[in-house]
Amino acid sequence: MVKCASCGSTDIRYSIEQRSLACANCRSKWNEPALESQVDLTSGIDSLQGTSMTSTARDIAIEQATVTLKCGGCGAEVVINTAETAQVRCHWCRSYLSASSRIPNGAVPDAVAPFIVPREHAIETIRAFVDARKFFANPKFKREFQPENVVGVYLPYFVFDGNASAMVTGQGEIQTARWTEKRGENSHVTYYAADVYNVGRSFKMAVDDLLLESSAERGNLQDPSQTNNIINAILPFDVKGALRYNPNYLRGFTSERRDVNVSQLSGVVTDKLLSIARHKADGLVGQYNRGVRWDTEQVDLHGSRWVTVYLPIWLYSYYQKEKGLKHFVAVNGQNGNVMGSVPLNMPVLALVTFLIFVIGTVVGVLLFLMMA
Amino acid sequence: MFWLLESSSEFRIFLLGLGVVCAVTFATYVYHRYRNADKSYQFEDRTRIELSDVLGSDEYSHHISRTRDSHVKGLEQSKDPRQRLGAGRRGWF
Repeated sequence: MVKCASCGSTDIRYSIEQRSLACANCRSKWNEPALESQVDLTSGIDSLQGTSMTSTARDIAIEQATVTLKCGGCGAEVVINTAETAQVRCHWCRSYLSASSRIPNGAVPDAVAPFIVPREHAIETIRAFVDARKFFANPKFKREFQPENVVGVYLPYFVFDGNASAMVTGQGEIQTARWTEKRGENSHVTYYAADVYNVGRSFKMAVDDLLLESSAERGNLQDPSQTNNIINAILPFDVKGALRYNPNYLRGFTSERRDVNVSQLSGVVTDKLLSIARHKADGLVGQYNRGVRWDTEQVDLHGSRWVTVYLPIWLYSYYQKEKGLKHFVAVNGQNGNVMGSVPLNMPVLALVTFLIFVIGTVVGVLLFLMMA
Repeated sequence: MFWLLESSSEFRIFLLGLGVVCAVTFATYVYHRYRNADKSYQFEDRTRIELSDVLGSDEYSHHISRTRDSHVKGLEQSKDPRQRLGAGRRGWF
């Protein structure tokens, strides 16, 4: 609920230290129930057929009689049916809602995984990460580095469960002999003999809790203007422990909205399933000690289940103007994993690389002459 | 790299390029350590996946009696599971 059950106050915030929502008025503490207790996230994956999704995972509606407005007072997202009412006040705190705060419908998630890592811990983690990479760091970045500017962000993800079949075929080889032959005075050449097999593997896969970015901007790992791969690299999160969505978890943090629909992710999902299939198939051909070259890959998705969730990330960003590139240092808000992109001081790196080239060449030539 | 060299004459030629090898290795290491542009979540490995109905076919094709290749030809092209193979149907229901 958005109001405090004890006193009716709307002044509710999430406390990382207490890991619960806390009412500023009566000091009550509570949490929403775990999503797992309301939506089955684990069982029955291998019998999924078709697409099953929660109401919040459905397509985002652009133009409807109902609009969603974000309340500036309490942070609640209030759905207004414009055909029935002209009321523009928040249901919860009675604040007047601004039309400029209108947001597309359908983008409220099922669940939120609240922050566990405190802000101070995230600041120290980011500071340590950057301190370990200061020697070749861009001097302007070093001057302007202020880890205290870290921002707590909830990013939207789809949690995907899938029931799929996969088949890969290729050619594998088993070594039967290995020998060396003399070639010239000082040269030896190694030769091999091998048995060649046509290899095929097929299996069913039950994919549990694959996380997919549901913000088009964050999901674009190839975007040359920002280092989105950094945010991707700090996955995963404990999705099964996520709590039912309550806007109060978001107070004091920023959040990004989902702007991608399930149907838009069909290509991404197929690509990921093919990658998973190939990885699993590699683990099923250990007897081929000369390796297996896969020639064909195929995956059929029989059924899927989609849930939407907000996941917590501490994010430090730095815009490198001369390159038009936004660097991130990100800390997983649940387990403290860190990854980052630190801009380089290219002239210094080039100089040191050149010195290494010179020293390496001199040593190499000396050894060459000595061996003659 | 140099451990792949099979003869002392090849090793001597490698020594002439030692500077280039060291410089490229160093610059690549620093770039990856600072920028981490190659990092992403290893979903293939870390997502919970249950396999069932695993079937395999291993059909003998032929024998190679003499080759210098230490691995099956084309292994590099299919080594990265995220790199899509040329053939292959991609089903979606």
